Amino acid sequence: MDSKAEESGAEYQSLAPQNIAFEQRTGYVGAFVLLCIAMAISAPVALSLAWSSWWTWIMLPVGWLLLTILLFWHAHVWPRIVYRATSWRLEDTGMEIRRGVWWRHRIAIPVARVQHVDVSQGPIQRMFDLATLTIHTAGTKNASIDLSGLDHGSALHLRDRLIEQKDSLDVT
Amino acid sequence: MSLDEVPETEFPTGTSPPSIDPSHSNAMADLHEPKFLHPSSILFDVLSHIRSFLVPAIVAVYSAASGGIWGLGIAALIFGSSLLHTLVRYFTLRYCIKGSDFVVTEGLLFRRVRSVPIRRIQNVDLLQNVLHRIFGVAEVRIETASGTEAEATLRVLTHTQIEELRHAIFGSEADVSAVEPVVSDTENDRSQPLAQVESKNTTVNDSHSASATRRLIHHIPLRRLIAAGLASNRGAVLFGILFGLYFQSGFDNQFRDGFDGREAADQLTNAGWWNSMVVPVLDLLPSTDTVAGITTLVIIGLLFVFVTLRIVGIAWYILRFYDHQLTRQGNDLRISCGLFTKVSATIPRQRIQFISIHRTLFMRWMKLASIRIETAGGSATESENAASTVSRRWFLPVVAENDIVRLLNELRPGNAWDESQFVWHSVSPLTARRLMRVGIVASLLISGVGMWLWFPWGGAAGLITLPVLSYLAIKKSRAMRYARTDWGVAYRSGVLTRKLSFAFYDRMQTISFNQSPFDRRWNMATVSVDTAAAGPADHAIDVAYLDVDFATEQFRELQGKAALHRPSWG
Repeated sequence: MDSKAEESGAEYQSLAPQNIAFEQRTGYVGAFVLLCIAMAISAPVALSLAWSSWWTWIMLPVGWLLLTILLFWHAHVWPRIVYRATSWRLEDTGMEIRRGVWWRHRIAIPVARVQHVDVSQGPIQRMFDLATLTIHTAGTKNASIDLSGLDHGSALHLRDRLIEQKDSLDVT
Repeated sequence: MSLDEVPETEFPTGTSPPSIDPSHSNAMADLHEPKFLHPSSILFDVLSHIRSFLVPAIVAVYSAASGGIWGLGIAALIFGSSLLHTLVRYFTLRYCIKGSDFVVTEGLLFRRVRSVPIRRIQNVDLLQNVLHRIFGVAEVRIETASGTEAEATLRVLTHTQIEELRHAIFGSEADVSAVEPVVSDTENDRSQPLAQVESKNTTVNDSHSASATRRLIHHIPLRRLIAAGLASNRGAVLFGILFGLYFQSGFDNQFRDGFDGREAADQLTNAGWWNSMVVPVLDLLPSTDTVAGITTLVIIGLLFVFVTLRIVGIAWYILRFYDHQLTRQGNDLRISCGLFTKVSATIPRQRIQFISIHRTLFMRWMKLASIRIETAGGSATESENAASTVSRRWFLPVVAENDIVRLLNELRPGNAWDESQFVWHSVSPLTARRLMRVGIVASLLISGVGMWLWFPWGGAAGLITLPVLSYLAIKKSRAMRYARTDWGVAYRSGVLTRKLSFAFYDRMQTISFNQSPFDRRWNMATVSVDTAAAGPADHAIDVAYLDVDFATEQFRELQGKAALHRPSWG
């Protein structure tokens, strides 16, 4: 374990930079699917309700365009904003995670309360060498705390550090 | 006891003879040998089976009585299969203590061996209904921190067996608590002269808890139960049930179809008792022709509802909490209560995660309060019948206001409990204004809806809600208080029902700091503490509307304190 002086007041760290690309990629897929569904539903409904009105022929593509822009913004720009808002740090007392753009959350997990730590990787996450760290506590509302978007290596490292710190507490 | 004394037949295939752990005292050596349940278990098991098949059983018996061969067959099948199941269960189920585990083996074809580490056992609860009492036995539930269901249910054991079991579980527990002393108890002993001695005793020397005598800590007299029943809104539950029945019975259809419901009324009024008993009373009531008459009727109706609610409340309290006793032996708290069905629950003191004191409006008038506690596990159990519910949700259903400090000291010795000594912090001074603004918006909405329903007079609804909501906003913001002591945090809130809860540094699982966009506008934040059992106490440490700087500071402080104080279990 590193020296205490170095650990206390540790700097907040960001997630892995490739997480933005990962979120964007999955965001595009989600946006595409949503757009297809919206088009498939809105076109027949709008046309059957007001076939003869020329308004329909203008409003429908305009609506689609607006939706596309919104979804594209959400898929492309939003992950950057989220990335900037998310950070974590590991101190000798415990782990702290900050996240949230509109609703901001900070959670502190004392090392002594960590029950166990999981590192998991989805198939797309694996392509980006990303992982999700899950910390389990005996709590109820926050019984497990996820932190996704770490690079796999540092997730493993973080897990080992957490367990190491907990063990060193258990011995004393 | 030596292994030779154990008959071979006592060990079914698949289980090895229990090893005898020399570290455990002789007093519980008995339990190292697998034990049967009490023979009357067969009866209770069959009864509970039949209860779960009640409807088919009644149908079958009815049809058998009217000479149906099929019905007889089905009845015999149900009874026979449940008897067979019970017999198999009875003759294969054994419980014992093996090393540091409590082991239950069960099953003929599929053997199931359930082994629960003793140090993980949270509660041993007893349930004893009238029939159990006749046989002098009780149902035992052994619970751990996991899940909502009891880890093992032993139906049924005699009192000596239960004592043996409790002793074995909580006697050997003391070894564990000696290894993991409760840090906060030994650390914070500067502020409380009285509890200090006791705190030392209980944390370090409690391995002798078994030899200590059981002491009565609190007993609830009948008159106090009546007072609590008067103060409670328990009766409302009954009205809920009646309401549900009413809508299910289809009686409401008759109402809807023509509002006279004459058929039903005719049936009712043709009954003799109706004419002799109810009609004279009805004649006394004012007629419904005049406005004054209707008003009196409504008032009488409301009074009737109110009185019924109170009576039901009292009945519920007496039924459930009659002869409520809290006793303590070393670290092991025990509750027993109940008029017909007796419930007894054991709660090791060091397993208390959260303490909450509730005072409803009526209770405050009578200078009463109720104390609820939370242990880990079972938090999601909502059923009102479980023994665990009584022990946690209704730990002490009613206590005198001036007795609280003494009782809290029994629950967690070594803490300074006097609320008036706490350094209370109010929430942000802007809170009242913020809540009032919410009230204004809500009133505008109500007015809008009112106008839409009944133009233009419906709009006046907002004029009524506005002062009420504003008043509540001020009251609510004043009621919220937060205090940090050297052993934990206290949080108080509530206007009508005042709730005061305590979370302890060594029991805090996570600490969070949250800010909504509205919070940021008002420069506020919420600090919350998560414990291993948030739920039954119906209050949590979620301190909202704190000034953002103060909240940040508290978040930091709690983080440090929680890391310093080690949990004493898990």
